[in-house]
Parts: sequence; structure tokens; C-alpha cells
Amino acid sequence: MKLTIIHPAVYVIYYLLLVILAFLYNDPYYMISFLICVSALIMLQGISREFKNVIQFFIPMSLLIIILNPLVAQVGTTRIYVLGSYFITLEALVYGILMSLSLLIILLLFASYNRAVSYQEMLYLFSKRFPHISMIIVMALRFIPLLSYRLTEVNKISRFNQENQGNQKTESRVDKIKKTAQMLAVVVSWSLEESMLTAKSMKARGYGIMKRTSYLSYKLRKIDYLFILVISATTLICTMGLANGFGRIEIYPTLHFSVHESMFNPYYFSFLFLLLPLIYLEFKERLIWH
Amino acid sequence: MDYLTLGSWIVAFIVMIGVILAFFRIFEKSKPRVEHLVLIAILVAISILGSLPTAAIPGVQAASFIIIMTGIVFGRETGFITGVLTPLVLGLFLGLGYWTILQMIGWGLMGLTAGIFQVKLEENRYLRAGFGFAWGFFYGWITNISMLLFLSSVTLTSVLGVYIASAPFDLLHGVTNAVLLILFFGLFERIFKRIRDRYINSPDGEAKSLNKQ
Repeated sequence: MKLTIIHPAVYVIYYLLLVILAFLYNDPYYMISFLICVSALIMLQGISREFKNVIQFFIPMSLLIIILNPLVAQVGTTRIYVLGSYFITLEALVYGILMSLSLLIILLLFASYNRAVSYQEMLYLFSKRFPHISMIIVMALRFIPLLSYRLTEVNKISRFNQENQGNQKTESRVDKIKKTAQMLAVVVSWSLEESMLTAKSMKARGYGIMKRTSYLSYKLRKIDYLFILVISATTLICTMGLANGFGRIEIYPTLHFSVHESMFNPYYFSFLFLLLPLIYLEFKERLIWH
Repeated sequence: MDYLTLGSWIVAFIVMIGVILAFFRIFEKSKPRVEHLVLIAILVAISILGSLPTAAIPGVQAASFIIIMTGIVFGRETGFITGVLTPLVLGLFLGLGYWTILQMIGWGLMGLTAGIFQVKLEENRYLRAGFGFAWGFFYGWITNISMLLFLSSVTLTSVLGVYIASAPFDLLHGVTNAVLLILFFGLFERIFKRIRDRYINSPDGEAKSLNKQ
């Protein structure tokens, strides 16, 4: 239950902006603030278990990025000799690590997005321009549990038949695969026949005669305008900061990074301010409900 | 990442989304029949059911098989729409991300090409197996683009590096496709064709097929 309802389109724009910014920033200081804020948001959204899924996906990809970057990009001045005269550069290594950090941020952002915008809300955005496509998506979402239910039914019958026939001999793997496919085929033909009945029923009830309406309905309200105002203002300041080199460190050709330079300037604070609105909203809900 | 590279990536992604939306628009404009809509929905659901149990192992799934079958039997338009919608609905289950767009392109093209080479693929079983095997790799190459985003420079070596790293999974995917297409093409072709001839191709629904019998 959400107290503050924000238009889903606003959410989409906000998360899109954050993803682009996650690519643009490469200052470790900014990246870590970003990571902390996104993690806090995920904690508040109550999907801490998502971390496990994300990490499972993240580790092999980040390893690939960290290993591949120095191998393919031999740009940079600080050389680390690995094997005889073969060298990799420190700069490429650092680039790989920073890039995998931004990959982590992006994966977490998408996890948070999937929580913040439910599929009904996304279909709401979609259904105005693409009524038929969104109808297909809704139907497919309903068919998946139906199909898996039918699969268990067919499975039950086939097991029953097997027990009745009384042949307990062990099956080879090929037989097993063939039987699974056979069962899938039964489910497929059953469902296809049934779906044509569904189509007839839809036709009889007058699908497509009138324009489709949506169950959910949203209007842009005051809070949405406020939200858009805040994120556009802070994004503008952040972009100005990025153009002046705040939030970006020079990696190629020589690594150049110092902490005190990048701390405490208006650009950094506006960046933090950009990250805060959703955290604030979630936090407020926590306080009110508990 | 510098501004120029990021800008070109953003443009590339906008073009991809634009192409997909344009195809959706064409589909909407073509005033599809209700049977067609329900058919696509059930095909999408079947291909997702074929890929959900083994979602953790990349490469081993039956979704590609169903999409190729759809392209061959129902033609390129249905194949493309089914291929594009499968990862979208799968994403609603497992989580959406920027990689969903690339999967949409990959699977969509798979269905589209299967529809284009419909006649040849239907006749020759070796060609069919080869087609499935090759698409295992093509699909991998298309989805690998999401990894290239995080490399410092897109050069021949970096592209090769990523593609070599994904080769085992692509091989697995291709072999799965080929095996499924060899073993179960006939079975599923019969089921799909029955529906096509009975409900989709005949303009006035069941009446025509009843007269035939």
C-alpha cells in the first residue's frame, strides 16, 4: 500500500536518468555514495533478498569486465608487468573495477525499478498507444500459471497410467526426455484448442468494439510536478558539474584522483539531492505505517 | 565512459526501441483478429514455460525452439511478435533491465528469419537443425552487446574477448535448438498446423472446416 502515489511515467523517467548518470560518473567517491543510496532505497523497499539474485548475476559479469578490460585496452602509462614483457596497465584495471561498480549500481537500480513500478502500471503506460499488444501481454501473464497447472494435471495422469501398467523398470534418459516432450505436446494442443474457445468468448462479449479502457487511472498531480521539478533541477546542476569535471576522474592516459578535491561542492550536494526523493518517500511511509 | 561513446550507445538503444515500437504500431494498425491475439498470447506463454524451469542455466531453454516453430508454421509476422514479446513478459517475471531490449531484438529476429525461410526450413530437416544451431550463436552475439557497454573501448579484440567468453553458452544453446528441432519438429508441427488451418487461415472461423469434414 502506497500513500504517495506517483505517476508511473515519472518513475520511468527518474530511473532512466539515474541509469544514464550511473554510466557517466566514474569518481569512486560519487559512485560509492550512489551505491549506498541505492542500497538504502532497496532496503526500504523491502527487497533485501533481491541482493542475492543480483549478486549471482553480477559476479561472473564483473569478473569478465575486470579481466577483459586490461587485456584489450593497453592504454595508460603505469605498466604492470605480468609475464616477461607482457604488461597490463593500472589504468585499464581501475577502469574495469569502476565499470563493474557502475554495473552493480545499474543492476540494483533495475531491481528497485521492478519493485517501484508494478507490471500493471507499466501496461497502463503502454496500453494507450498499443492496446492489442498490452492485451496480449496481460493474457500471456494469465496463461503461464494456467499452463503450469495443466502440466501438473497431465503429469498426474501419466504417472497414474504408469503405476497401473505395473512396469517398474528403470527408464533411460532419452525415454524420459521423450515423455516430457510428449506431455508438453499434450498441454500445448490442449491449451491451443482452449485458447480458440477463449477467443470466441471474447468476440461474443464484444472485444474490440469499443476503445479499451484501463483499470488503473492516473493523473499528473501536484506531487508529480514537484517531483519532476526537483529531478530536472538537480539533474541540470549535476550535468553542469559533469561538464566541469566534477564527478569524473581522469583515467586515461594517467590515473589522477584526489579525495579532497571532489568533496563538498554544490554539485555533489545536488547529486545527493537527486538520489534522495524516493528514499524520503519510502522512509515517510515506514514512519507512518509502523 | 566519455560523452561521445555514451551518446552513441544511447542513440543505438533509442533506434532499437524505435524499431520495436514501429513494428508494434504496424501490428496495431493491421487490425488483428481476436484469434490471432489469443494465439500469440498462448505461444508466448508456452515459450516462457519452456524457459522458466532452466532460467538459471543460460543457453538451455525451449523458448527458441517454440519461437522458431512459430516462425515456420505461422509466418514471419507472428514469429516476430512472439519473439519480441517473450523476453518482455519473461522480464515482468524475472526482472526487467536494459538487456531485455537486446533479447527482444534477438528473439524477434529469430522468429522473423524463421518465417522468411519458412518453405525451405519446412522441407529440409538438416537445414532446420543448422538454422537452430546457427541462431544459438546469433542470439548470443546480439545479447552480448550488453557486455560491450562496460568495456573501455569497442575494438576488434574486446569484441572477440567477450564473444569467446560467451561461446560455450552459445554452443549449448545452439545444440539444444538443433536437438529439439530434429526430435520434436514433427510433433509440434502437427499441433500448430491444425490450429493454423482450422482457426487462423480460414476467414470465417470454424464453419469452413466443418463443411470440409
